[in-house]
Amino acid sequence: MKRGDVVSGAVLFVVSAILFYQSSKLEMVYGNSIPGTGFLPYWLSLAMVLLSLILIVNGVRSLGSGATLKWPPGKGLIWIVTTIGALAAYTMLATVVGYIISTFAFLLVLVRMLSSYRWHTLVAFSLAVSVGLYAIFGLWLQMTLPTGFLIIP
Amino acid sequence: MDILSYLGLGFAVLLTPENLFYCFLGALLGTLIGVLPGIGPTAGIAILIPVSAGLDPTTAIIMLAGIYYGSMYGGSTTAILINTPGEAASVPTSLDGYKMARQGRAGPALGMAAISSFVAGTVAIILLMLLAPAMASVALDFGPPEYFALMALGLTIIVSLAGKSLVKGLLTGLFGMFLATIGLDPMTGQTRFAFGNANLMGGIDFISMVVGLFAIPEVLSNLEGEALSVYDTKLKNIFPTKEDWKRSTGALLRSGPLGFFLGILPGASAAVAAFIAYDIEKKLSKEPEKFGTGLIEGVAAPEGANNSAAGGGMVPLLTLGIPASPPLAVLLGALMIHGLRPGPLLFEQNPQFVWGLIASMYVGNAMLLVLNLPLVGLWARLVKVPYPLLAPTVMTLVFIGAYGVRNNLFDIWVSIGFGILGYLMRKLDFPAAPVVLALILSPMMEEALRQSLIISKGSMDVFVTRPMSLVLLLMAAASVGFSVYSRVKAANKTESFIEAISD
Repeated sequence: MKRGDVVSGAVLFVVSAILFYQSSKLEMVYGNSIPGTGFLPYWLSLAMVLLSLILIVNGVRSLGSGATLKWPPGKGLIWIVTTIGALAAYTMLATVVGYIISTFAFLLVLVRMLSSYRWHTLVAFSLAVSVGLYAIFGLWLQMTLPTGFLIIP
Repeated sequence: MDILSYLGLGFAVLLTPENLFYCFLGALLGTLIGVLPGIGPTAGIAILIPVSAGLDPTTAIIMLAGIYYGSMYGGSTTAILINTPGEAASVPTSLDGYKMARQGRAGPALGMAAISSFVAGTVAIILLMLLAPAMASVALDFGPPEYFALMALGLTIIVSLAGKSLVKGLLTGLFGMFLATIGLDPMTGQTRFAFGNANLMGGIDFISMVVGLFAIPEVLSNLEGEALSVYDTKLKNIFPTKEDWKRSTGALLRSGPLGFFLGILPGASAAVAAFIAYDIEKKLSKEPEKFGTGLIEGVAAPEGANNSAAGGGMVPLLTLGIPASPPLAVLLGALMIHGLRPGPLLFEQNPQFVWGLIASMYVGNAMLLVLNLPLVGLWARLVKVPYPLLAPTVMTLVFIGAYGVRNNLFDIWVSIGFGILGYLMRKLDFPAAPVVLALILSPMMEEALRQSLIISKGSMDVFVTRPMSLVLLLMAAASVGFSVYSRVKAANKTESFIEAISD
């Protein structure tokens, strides 16, 4: 984990330093003596810069000790990346074809990837969940869900 | 009006078909969320806030609070049956509960968990009813300096939520405070860190952030590991035996008040209450060496304490507007979305809401007992729902929850972004809870700071010359000390529990 601390500390240091610079360009005092727009972010980002430095120093001092960062094995990593990718594709697709069709496709792809169910089971499950959730959220609870070019949710 | 009259008012508010239905729905969904891996109470409440948008505020919060305390009940099921506590508060339950399941006594363990939760939960509601109005009346005289000190006190909870590393906890807390500054500054009208993006002018949507930070990493983490193995046991008899009752009576009586008072303290979470209750039972036991081998009092004590602490946490939330844990921070967000500002004035201006909510907790607790005792077999079966079916369904709920608040696809992208960030934070041992707490409390603190300095014409003395403000700031310092002490103690306990579990 210590190497992870050094890397995450370095990333946080860079981000905090950028935010500190951006904050310093904002108004520090409003009126005569009231904290301005930049006051809180300025001090917050400064504290983050200092804490990320402490994280880096602590990490460097204990390199080689402590638990090592474990990333998931090959299959798990593929599943994770695909799930995130599918969620992103689902979001884009929802604006084109609407909620029900995009949800059906999303469920079909993900369940297929994660399991070895037969196709008819996959289709039945995806259809039941997408329509069922639409019935609950869209029809019963009257929530607005994305519609696509078909003008259906 | 006295307390009984107010309680009568509360029951009059609750006893409508709509409120009773949503109270039941909240308890049901809470149990479901507690039982199923992959959502958790924080994200569960967040996902369902948009659902509650069309409801009357009292009805909405009755349902969301039901999810909160219902999930505490449900969390014990996975701890007992699959040795996988849904949250830290159920860790001590798993120690003796899972051993009981392995000995073929899963039924009495689950039954005692439900009974203990009911008894302690009821004690907590009675204490909440007696203490909260008194606390609210004290806080009625608060001005901006006191509110600033109060928010500072609230932010000290970050220390107890910091996880393994205090530096990482503080960093994520500061990050949360920073996120809160994004958007339009309400006092100056200037924009901060929106980078020209119109979607960011109104700030980061709280629900999208919470859903992304909690639900998505939970699903992703479950996808990387091996399948959970459910201990296959038949639930023959869920009612504890005469001997079980005899052994658990002390734990049942002690865990309620203990959990409640620990739940009130900023920084002492339901998990701390559960650990301390378990520890006390062990110390009072004539056979402490048998703890961890399947003693029923080892289930009764932590389960009672964590439910009672959930009730205790409602006291600072309703009277002062301070959430003691991430689910309560989300509940605070929900109150604000529904136009209710928690604090002392809530008791004065919205007695129907406050007492309706308290009455719903009485009824919800009874509903949970009914849901959890006879239906425990159903919940146990739900634990076995294949994850390949559950994970995509949870992701669909994430989509609906994130989109539902503002009907804006940008919010789903925010959720996805925070989901990836949350997963990386989890891998690198950065706690997510301080982000939520800081995001909620920071804007209120900034506002109170500015108003205080307007009153004092820029002098910081205003925070130490007003007695209540000074007391609160001293309490904040004491809270940090207490939280650090509890963190060290809880860490030691967890290590010994993990060792015992792995034996």
